[in-house]
Amino acid sequence: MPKNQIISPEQVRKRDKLKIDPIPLNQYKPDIEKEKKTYGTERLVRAYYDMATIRLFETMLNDIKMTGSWEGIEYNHAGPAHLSIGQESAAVGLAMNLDESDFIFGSHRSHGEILAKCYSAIAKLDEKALQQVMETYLDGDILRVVESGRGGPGDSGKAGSIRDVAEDFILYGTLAEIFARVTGINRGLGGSMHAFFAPFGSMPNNAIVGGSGDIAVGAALYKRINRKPGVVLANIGDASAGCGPVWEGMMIAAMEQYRTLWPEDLGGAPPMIFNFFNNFYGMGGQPVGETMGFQVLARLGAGVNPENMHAERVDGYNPLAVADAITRKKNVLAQGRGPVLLDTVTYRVSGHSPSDASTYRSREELELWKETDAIAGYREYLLKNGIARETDLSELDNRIREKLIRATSLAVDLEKSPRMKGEDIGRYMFSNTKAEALSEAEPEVLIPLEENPRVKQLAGKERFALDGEGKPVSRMKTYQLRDGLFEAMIHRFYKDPTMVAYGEENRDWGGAFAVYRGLTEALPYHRLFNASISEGAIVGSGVGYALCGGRAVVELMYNDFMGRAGDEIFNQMSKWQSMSAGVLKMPLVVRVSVGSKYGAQHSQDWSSITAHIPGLKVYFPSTPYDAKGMLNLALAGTDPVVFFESQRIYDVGELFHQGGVPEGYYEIPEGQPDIKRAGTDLTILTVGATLYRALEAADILQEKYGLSAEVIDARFINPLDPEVILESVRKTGRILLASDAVERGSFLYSLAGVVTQLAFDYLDAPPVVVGSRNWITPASELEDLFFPQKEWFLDAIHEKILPLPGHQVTTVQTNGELARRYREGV
Amino acid sequence: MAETVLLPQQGNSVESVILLQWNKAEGETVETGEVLCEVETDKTTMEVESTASGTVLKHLVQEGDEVPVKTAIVVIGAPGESVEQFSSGSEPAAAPAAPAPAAAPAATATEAPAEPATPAAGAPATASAPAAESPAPPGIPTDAARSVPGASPRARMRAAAASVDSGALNNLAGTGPGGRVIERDVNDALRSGTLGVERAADKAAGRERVTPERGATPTSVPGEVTEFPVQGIRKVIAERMHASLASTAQFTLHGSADARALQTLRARFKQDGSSLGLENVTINDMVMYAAARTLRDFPEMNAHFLERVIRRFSRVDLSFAVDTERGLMVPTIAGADTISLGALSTRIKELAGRCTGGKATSDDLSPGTFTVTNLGSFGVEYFTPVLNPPQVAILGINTISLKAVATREGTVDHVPHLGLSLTVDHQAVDGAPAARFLQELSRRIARFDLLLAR
Repeated sequence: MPKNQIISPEQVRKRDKLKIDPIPLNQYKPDIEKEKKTYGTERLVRAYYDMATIRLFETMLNDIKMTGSWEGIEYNHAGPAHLSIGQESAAVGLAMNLDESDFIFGSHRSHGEILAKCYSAIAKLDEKALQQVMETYLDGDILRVVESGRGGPGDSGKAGSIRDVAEDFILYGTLAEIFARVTGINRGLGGSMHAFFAPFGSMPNNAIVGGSGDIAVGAALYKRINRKPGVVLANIGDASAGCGPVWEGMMIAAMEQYRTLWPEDLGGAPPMIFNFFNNFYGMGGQPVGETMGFQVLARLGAGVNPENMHAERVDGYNPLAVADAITRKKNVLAQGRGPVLLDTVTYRVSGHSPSDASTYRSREELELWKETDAIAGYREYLLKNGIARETDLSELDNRIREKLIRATSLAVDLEKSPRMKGEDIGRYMFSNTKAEALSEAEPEVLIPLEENPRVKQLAGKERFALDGEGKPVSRMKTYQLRDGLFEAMIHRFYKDPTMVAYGEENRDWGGAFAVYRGLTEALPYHRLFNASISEGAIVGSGVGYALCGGRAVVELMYNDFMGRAGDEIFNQMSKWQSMSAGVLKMPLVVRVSVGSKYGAQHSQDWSSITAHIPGLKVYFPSTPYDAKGMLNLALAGTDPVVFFESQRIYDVGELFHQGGVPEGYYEIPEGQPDIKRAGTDLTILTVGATLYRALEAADILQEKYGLSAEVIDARFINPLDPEVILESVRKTGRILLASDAVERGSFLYSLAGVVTQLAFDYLDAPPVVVGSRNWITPASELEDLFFPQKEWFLDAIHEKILPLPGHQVTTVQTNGELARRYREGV
Repeated sequence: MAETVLLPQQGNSVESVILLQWNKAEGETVETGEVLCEVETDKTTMEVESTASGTVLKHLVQEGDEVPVKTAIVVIGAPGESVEQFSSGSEPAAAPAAPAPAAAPAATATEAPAEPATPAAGAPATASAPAAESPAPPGIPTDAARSVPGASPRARMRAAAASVDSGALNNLAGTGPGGRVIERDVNDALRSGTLGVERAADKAAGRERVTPERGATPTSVPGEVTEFPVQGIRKVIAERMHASLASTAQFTLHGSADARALQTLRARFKQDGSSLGLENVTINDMVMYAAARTLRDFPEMNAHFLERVIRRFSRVDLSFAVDTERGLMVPTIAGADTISLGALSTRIKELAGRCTGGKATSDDLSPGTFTVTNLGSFGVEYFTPVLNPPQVAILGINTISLKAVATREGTVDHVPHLGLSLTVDHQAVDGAPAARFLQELSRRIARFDLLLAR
């Protein structure tokens, strides 16, 4: 929407042919002299050492999983172990030329990548930095166990260097993590499929296939926007090329605006490599020849941008070929010409998991790859070229075995490596910290705040919806809910340099609902931009951005589109704080709005769905005062928030907070419902825009039936302190709960259950939930049949709570009807 | 194999008791016939003996619980045996105090409520039509088929705060959805006094009587306030006395009898009666004797007034009030009109002793046909005894005081007279017959020596 390019009919209708540049396949040529010169003997031997370490690590796990013991160490491992025997050379080659500031994100099969990346960082970091990492990481808990295991009989590493200790630290920390010990690198909360070690650039590994395909893009955005060094790799499998979020991640990574609209000095496109570890199987399915049609995965780059994503196929069975590719691609990224696609050929000799009998492949094929074994081949290469002697390598083999026996003995020891106490898990669900700014840099803005046209405009608005005589102020003069959201956004943009906002239609015209009007003038492109229509990757990249330490506000326009970002909301943004045991924070706000008038796929309230997902905070303000104070709260925290707004009420003025919406900064206390109207006979609790219909019902109850209703806006879905509600119910004895979410499965039933349990003796009637019908949202003209109306409230009260003398019902709110709806599923 | 001990039926009328104290703690051993615990019926306290031998494995009810009779209260067996399968004997399901509503649930919707539904606070007073009858336009179903008319938890809490047993709420016509008794129903009933009054229908159905709201509004008396739960004997007294005043038409006649014959005889018993075992015969005993013997001639006074019938008794079962630490108790001497003064006196002392000692049995406390109550020892000159329904009369004995009596010589003598206060239920007995009874009783007391010979 930048209006600086013309879509010319003549050009787009021209007869022509699209030319696609050739994509290189396995072009690396081994040249030992050049390799010696590049790496030196020591590093070439070290590559063998790293590969052999991974091989033995995975073999050990395989033996433990299959036989319950390894080297005489007995252990029953109940959890998963997706092993990468056969893929070691690809992982080590990849890591050889990566620095600790380069990030890799992986998959469920990433033990080898963790070890390779961390060993690479250990070799490159100075000892002082290594020591500091080990002493401070998780309060030194891992280091203490590792040190306790050293110095025993036969321990060749008793006088070992800090690097030697650091290797033990990673071996033990990763294994303890796989075995779910509190001394694991993520305190046992991540486990085999999620383990990672951020200080060495090994970032979250993801048990959802392709899960890293969009999260890693957010990390690359973080590096680019905040001018941080390093590149980011998503190490994903060939089968993940069939996953939407991977494509979405590629689309966002390849947006042209980085080079056309963003400030040039930022350096261009995010430094992003989509590295497909192509082992030719998606569990038992075969992408080539069976489940996909690309034949050569590297071809996919041609579908993304004119540079084919600089795609090439690399021989992952030669570590030096992979290392060479990484060096070349880092140069491309340094020029801002990303993203890059690598089709790194490899092969998994082990099964998908130890329970996999490999019935989907032939013995013949397996034998061919075993004969081609990369470690044996590389060993031979070193010996042949005189880089190492047989005795040197055998000594290394022994050393690896000793180290691993030590690490395994410690990791299976329940005393030295205990499991987390159950209740402690709850402590990691949220970080619950505040951050005025997530970096000390100067926020990049275009104009001083006071010169902002919308800020100036708002100065003239009435910040309370009623005038001195209680009459409504004209709409044009009213400070609206959307203005409250704007003020919260711009406040934080001018405080926190890391804060970015993006999504669908965010820039230039202020978003679909004019919340961001005025931000375009204030912010450079890299802090506020339009993203491709890639809901999964919009949220997923927000997750990656946030877990790197930046504040992101992403917008999905309609909450109905959360389905498109289901994995990113339900499995990623909600879980990484706890799966990392608090190593990561998630200062990510996902703004979604609840629509109306737009039918079945644009007019639903899905707040109840988010309530069911542990690890999400869910806010839903319905007044300008709350909107500003709650967005302020969300933008000052470090937890993931799904921030619901209702399109019905973007234009309401403040009717409740005396004095109107403050001009200054304030926060609403988290989890506190608010009494919007005090009453004595009946409590009506609402979520979202339903508040205003509840107030209409309360008016009728008062005028017609002399009943005084207390109307409470929950404001928060999670966390939610029930005390205000309970106090009200203890007083009134009756509660009706209402929202625009469909009735079945509504979060309000959770709340009703809580009220029933905590205030049972005070209840004069069962808590009654009024929600939307369990239908599709019909057309605008029929919506009153679907969304709760004030009449529904009155009738439900009359039928189920407190018969209203002389009341004539107009809708069916009976218990019999409720039973019928459940019976019929509607 | 572990077994349970059932709380035995305590006389015919007892439905539940309060468990006062466990004499055998969990883990202690007990033999058959040993005392397990003490319980309080609505009339007395009793000991419960074990019907099993072994180790007390689990108390199924706790001290202070109200326990229905014939429910398991304790598990006895070998140490370590599982008690899992034994459930508490005091679960609400087993409680007998919740009689089924008289009307079939489905019918309540169409029946006019027994009490007019009062509008919610602030509602126009005219809008008092029961909600169930509110009109619904055709085609809009309402939950006309009413079900589960219970009381809401809040209604129960409100009743409890007013010391009304929650079982009584079943008697109310609920105005909540489906006929549910809700808070406003309890409030209305408390205000109108409906709750606590034993209505005819309830009585016929044998429903528990309740006391109305009393002291429900919080007081703000300065200084320390101690609260005592209204339970056990106090609860029974409260209910009985209030029901008495609420359900009868009682009035009291005051008179007096020449006490000289009593005094003379009392002096003689004291002086010479020991050899006959009569030294402790008191004036009270003599008045009770006189009353029992006189009642035989006034069957209308020795009667029960029931809803549709007055039952007159040929035998006199004479009840008398005993002041105990826990409150008023009223034991009964069966056939009091047939035994000698000496025997009557002995029986009175026995019963009074058992009452004050908390050892009275249910049979000791069975209902009588007439009651005597004595406040004379406190110098009370006249009072209005409260009837013990369904008895139709109660005699109060006052102190002896000098009365100026005109002699035939025209002078005035000061003669000691015993004050008598007779309360009768006008529903059963009119003023004149009651007065005639009192007059005859006074005469016989005045000539007590002659009465003895009768």
